Amino acid sequence: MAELITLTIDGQECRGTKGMTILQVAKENGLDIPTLCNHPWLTTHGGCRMCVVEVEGQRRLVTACAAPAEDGQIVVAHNDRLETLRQMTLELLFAERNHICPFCAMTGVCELQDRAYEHHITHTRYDYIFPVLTPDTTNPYFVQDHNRCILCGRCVRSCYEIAGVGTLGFGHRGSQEVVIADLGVPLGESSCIKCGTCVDVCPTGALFDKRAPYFSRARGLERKPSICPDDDLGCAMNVVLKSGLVARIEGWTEAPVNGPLLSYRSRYEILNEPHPRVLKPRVRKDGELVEVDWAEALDATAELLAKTQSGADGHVVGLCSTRLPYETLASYHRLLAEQCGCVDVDTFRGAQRATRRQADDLYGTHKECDFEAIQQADMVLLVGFDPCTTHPVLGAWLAKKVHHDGVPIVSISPRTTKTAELSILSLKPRRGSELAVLYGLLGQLIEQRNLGHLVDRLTAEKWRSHPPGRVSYEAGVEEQAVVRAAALYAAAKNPVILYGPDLTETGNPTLIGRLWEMAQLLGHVGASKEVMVRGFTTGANSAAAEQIGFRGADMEGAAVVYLLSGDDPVDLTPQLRQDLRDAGAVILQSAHDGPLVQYADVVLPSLKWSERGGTWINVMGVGQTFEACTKAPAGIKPDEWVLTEIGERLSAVKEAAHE
Amino acid sequence: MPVLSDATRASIREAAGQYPPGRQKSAVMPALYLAQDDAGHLNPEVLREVAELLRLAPVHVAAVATFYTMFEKAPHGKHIIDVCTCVSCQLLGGYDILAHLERRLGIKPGETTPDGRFTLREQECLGSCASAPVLQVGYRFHEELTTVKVDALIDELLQEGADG
Repeated sequence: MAELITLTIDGQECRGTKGMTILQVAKENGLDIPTLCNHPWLTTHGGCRMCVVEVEGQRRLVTACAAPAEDGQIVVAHNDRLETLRQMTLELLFAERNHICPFCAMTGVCELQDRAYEHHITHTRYDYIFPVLTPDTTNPYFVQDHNRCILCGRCVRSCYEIAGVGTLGFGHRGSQEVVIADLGVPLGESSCIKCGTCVDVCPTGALFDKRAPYFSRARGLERKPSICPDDDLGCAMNVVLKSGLVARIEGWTEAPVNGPLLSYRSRYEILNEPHPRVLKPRVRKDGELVEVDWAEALDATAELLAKTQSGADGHVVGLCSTRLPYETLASYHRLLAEQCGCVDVDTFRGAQRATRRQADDLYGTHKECDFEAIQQADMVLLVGFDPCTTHPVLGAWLAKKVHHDGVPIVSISPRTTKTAELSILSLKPRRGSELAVLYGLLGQLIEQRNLGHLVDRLTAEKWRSHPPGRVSYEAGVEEQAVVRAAALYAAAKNPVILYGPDLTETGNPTLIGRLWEMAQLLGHVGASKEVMVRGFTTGANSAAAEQIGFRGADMEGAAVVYLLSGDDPVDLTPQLRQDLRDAGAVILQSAHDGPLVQYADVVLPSLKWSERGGTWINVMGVGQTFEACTKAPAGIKPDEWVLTEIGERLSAVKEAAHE
Repeated sequence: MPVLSDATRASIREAAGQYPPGRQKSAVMPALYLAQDDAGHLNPEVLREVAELLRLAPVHVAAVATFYTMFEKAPHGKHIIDVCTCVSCQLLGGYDILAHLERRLGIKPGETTPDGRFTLREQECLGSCASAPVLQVGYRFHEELTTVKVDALIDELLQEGADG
């Protein structure tokens, strides 16, 4: 229980707890102290001097954002002297840069502008001494305009503290001081991960979204939380709406998994729709897709599905997007499994989960570690995983571990990965020879730690038969790298092993089994018996699909393939192309008129991410429920409605057949 | 490929080791001095290498290097002559010293002699007002200057170059 304190701010008695700053106590008690550089997501900077207050007994002014609140303190936050000082601070800011509001993208939603109005700044008494600085437009998603910058350092702090990369910093000095990236290179060429957190925290127009600068500046915008459908971390975000349309996406302070950090994909790429919407149902007639009404399209769908139920015409296969909410996935599964008797229901990313399941079958079920274990890890071994590409938020967490705590990362992947830049050691085995590297590592571990007695003789022999020399020959990695990787792993107290889509896609469950073994061998098992290993996939709701019972699909000889892709940019592999060509008929429920449409016999419109509501379960089993943010265009029906309608029609067909 | 010598790299690591773990940021200034002495000036490759040696984000090194004027970011002559023309030196003939050097070296402040030996610069207060007028060559101060002393200094520096 924190110690309670009472202080007086502007004559009002305020309560707080020890450890709070004067600013926090004031805010909590409904008092306003103006700030600029302070931001709730970030550490205290105390640089803008807007929040200066008088504390009785102290000769000098203190910054309320940095000064600890003390019991019995008497604070004055507003009087003529402080007002004059704040005015002067603002005037100096306005004199130092080109803050000509009417031309600024953020006019109306600018904190500097707000402070200026609050403090009755009508002009500045100082000469304008601002230099002419060139805005940096090299980043694909946002603009950095040094002319509007007040050097509050929010972006610099967010870049290091939240995004973990530390791309931004202060360069030069005096009136020439600017926020620079890396060694002063353009943002587009820098180490920036384009997460956009700096844009969220910028109080002025120095950093603004390219897509919606003037469009989203008005007040009275609506904000609704939603989820990033891209990966299985369960990153929640704040969707900013204007007149019911998505203006831009912001970090959401209350997001349970990711906090305010988002990836470039959930913040920016999600708003790029490469294909037009499917607005009306279509049915293929004489080789051409023809627009029809819902009733006809649904009848056609039911007819196709009913035909296969007799059994004579072969089986129906269902493939579904893991971006969809639990409820839709469940309805889809119910329709196909229960009403069509279909056993081949899977997700587009089915293979990823299937490998894990096979590993379970072979090596016994293992509970894998949670985010907390990853946060506390003092060494990270990545196997076939490039989180900086597939799971950028996780990549940022790892970057933070590297930059803030010096945690070593060792990466084993046949690909050239982005995460390799963060890694202290990066092993690049030839494709298909990852297992040799893992044997080599295990062999080294029992040797270095003298653990031979823990494994049976045969296994030990197998591992010993992979000395670094042989691994080097088989996998094309350096001998020394294998020795060093094992030493780094063995030296750590709480190492975690993270594997990703790359590893599971090879369809080799032995690899996953070896990773579990490696963790168990060194006793890296958490309190609740989970191994310090975790696998990641790319679908937002893969875990839900797993729970519901999507179990793998055999596409061969399919009479009907029912694809529910929603807005998923499905990876149209040569295999999938062939399977769709070979199928008797293809039903496609899709939001976009993408490359899948050419294979379809029936096309049904579907919702996109912002129009869907429901529950998503992330890789760690954390469930989150969100409502739809936007309305679907007229004529597009919810996925659930479509599935119910098809179900009813199927039942009717069945009954008719019985009679 | 490292641009700094092995000896400099070792010295930088040693400098970093003098601070508690996780406080490598404190070693940025000493590391930059070492790097500058080795490489002549701090170009992006040098800065990147210092950042790598200290395991810091490059921007943290660039921020310090660009803030302080005593870190050279561009190529310059073998000897940099910084002449103080701030108040105390000015009153005691700082500008005469500067003008004399301009004539002697045939260059203006901010320029480098064609043979690459000298870069001449005008500086704000060097902090040695009691011994004005002063100038600084490298890390050494030359005080209570007269044109005769300046000529002797230049001769000495030229001689040094001829010996080397």
